[in-house]
Amino acid sequence: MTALLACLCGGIGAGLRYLLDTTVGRVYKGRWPLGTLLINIIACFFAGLVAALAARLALPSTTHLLLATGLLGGFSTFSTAMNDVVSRMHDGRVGLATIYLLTTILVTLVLTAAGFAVGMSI
Amino acid sequence: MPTSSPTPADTQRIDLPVLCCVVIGGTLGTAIRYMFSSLPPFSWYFYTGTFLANMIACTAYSALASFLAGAWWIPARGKELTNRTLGMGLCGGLSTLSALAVEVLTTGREGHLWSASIYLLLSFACGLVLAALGSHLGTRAAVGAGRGRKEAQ
Repeated sequence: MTALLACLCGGIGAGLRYLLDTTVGRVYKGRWPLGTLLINIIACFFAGLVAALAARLALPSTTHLLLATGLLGGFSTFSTAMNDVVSRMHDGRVGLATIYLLTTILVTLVLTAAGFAVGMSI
Repeated sequence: MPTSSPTPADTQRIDLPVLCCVVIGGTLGTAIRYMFSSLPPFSWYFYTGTFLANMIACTAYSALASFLAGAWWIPARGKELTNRTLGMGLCGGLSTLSALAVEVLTTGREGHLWSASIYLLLSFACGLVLAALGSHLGTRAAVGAGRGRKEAQ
């Protein structure tokens, strides 16, 4: 039952990703894949927060599974980020692709650490 | 050529049937990732389940995007629904950057910075290579299928 709920939470996370990506696409028309980056930044911050709460035993294991594996796992996306990089390289925008790749790696790691720090301090 | 979204116009409106397709695909993708998560780790710092899920998703998503970009015989609405269900939903739900980041962070916090760095770099390097491979295969499949359809007409 918990596993089924986690899968449904993943579906909700994917739905939220679609809504945010569409909203960003309506506002921002540039070449930068801003929607995917924002989605991954938000997901990583909250994943760090949830991981810290779980480490402090402040979060039941079922809730941790539903949020970390389900909602945030379904919300964040590695495959879209990689496809974004490859598609820009195919278009000849190697510089943009490289900056986007490095930004994704660095910013998501920093935001995960920030979320973890917030989770340990509250 | 791979595309992250079907057409610019498709990203400008929220479409309820498309949202349902994404949720269904995301639920299935999460279910597959959940099954992968029970795989035994390759070593204590290398998360086999997350790695495998991400690599399969990268290959499949890029292959699908490239195939749909070259599939002239599929109507635009069909492309959008397929891309959103299987690409954004299934592959997006199967892959996860948040779990990867947390795994790297916790491994690094335990003092194993080299192990964390290797896991992170391997994930991104292999993900990029497989996404490029998937894109190539998807384009070739679309060209082949398109040629067959033209000859049949």
